[in-house]
Amino acid sequence: MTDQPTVVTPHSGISYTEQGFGLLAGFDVVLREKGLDITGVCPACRGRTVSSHEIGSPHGYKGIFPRRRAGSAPKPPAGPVTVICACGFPHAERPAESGESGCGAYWKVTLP
Amino acid sequence: MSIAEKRWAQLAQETQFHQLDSLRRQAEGWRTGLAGLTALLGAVLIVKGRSDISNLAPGVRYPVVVLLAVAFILLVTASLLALRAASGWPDDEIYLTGESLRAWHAEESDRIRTGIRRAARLMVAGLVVLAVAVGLTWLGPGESRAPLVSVETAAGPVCGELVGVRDGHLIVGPVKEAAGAQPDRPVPRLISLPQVTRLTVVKSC
Repeated sequence: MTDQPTVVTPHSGISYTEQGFGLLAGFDVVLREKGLDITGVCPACRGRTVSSHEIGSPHGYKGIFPRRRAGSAPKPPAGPVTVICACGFPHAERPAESGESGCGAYWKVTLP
Repeated sequence: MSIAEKRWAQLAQETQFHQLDSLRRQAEGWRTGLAGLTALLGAVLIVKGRSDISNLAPGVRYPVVVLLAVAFILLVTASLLALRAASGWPDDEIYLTGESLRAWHAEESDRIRTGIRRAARLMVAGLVVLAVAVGLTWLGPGESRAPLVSVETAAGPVCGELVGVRDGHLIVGPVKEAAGAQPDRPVPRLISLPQVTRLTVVKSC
């Protein structure tokens, strides 16, 4: 694994902007045992971005009294999922405390 | 598309990286709560009025035991509901997306409101039942304290409560402990004193 972001299209070094793009197509969705990955190209900066959503506790707790039987993991979200650009490139004016690693753009992707 | 949807997505992303801290806090909450449940049993038994329920008449003793058990169940249930509302149920798992987290927050908020409301009602009901039980132990009739005696006579042994002596006769009442063996309307036995060869105080007949 490399620290350098993979560029599939010419990346645009635009300033950080929280811009919504609505529902977009053309993204790969991979369902894993413990979560799902959404991969595609950011509509704002054109950087390749991977958004991982793990299965976990909303409390951040794994549990000591597991009621759920093995194999009955939560179902993937039925509706579109919000994805945030995580291209890994530095973008000007991105707040240091934001915790983001992209240009600030966000959009929705429908799961299969 | 609103910025709120991005904020929920950000919160879901952050949640993935703080699972252990939240785990510790929630475990502490459950540890404290479960220790409180253990203390609750002691509290119910201490706040029961008389030091010994067995001194109560049987007609009051068993209702008091039932009331104490009901009070304990109500208080334990109330404590668990409040604990679940305060620390969350450890079994919850979702896909950590903004949409799932947002929906879970709404459902969890409803669950907390309902849980706290039910916990308060059950706690009050438990305390009322406990108060009734304590009142019965204080005000209920005590068990008869007449001593049990075993009387040996020429005709055979007789056992029962010592009622007294009158007109040359020893009066021995029916035995309460052996109620099942008593006739429908037990009457005291009169034993002529010259017939008594031995009289012993006993704990049971």
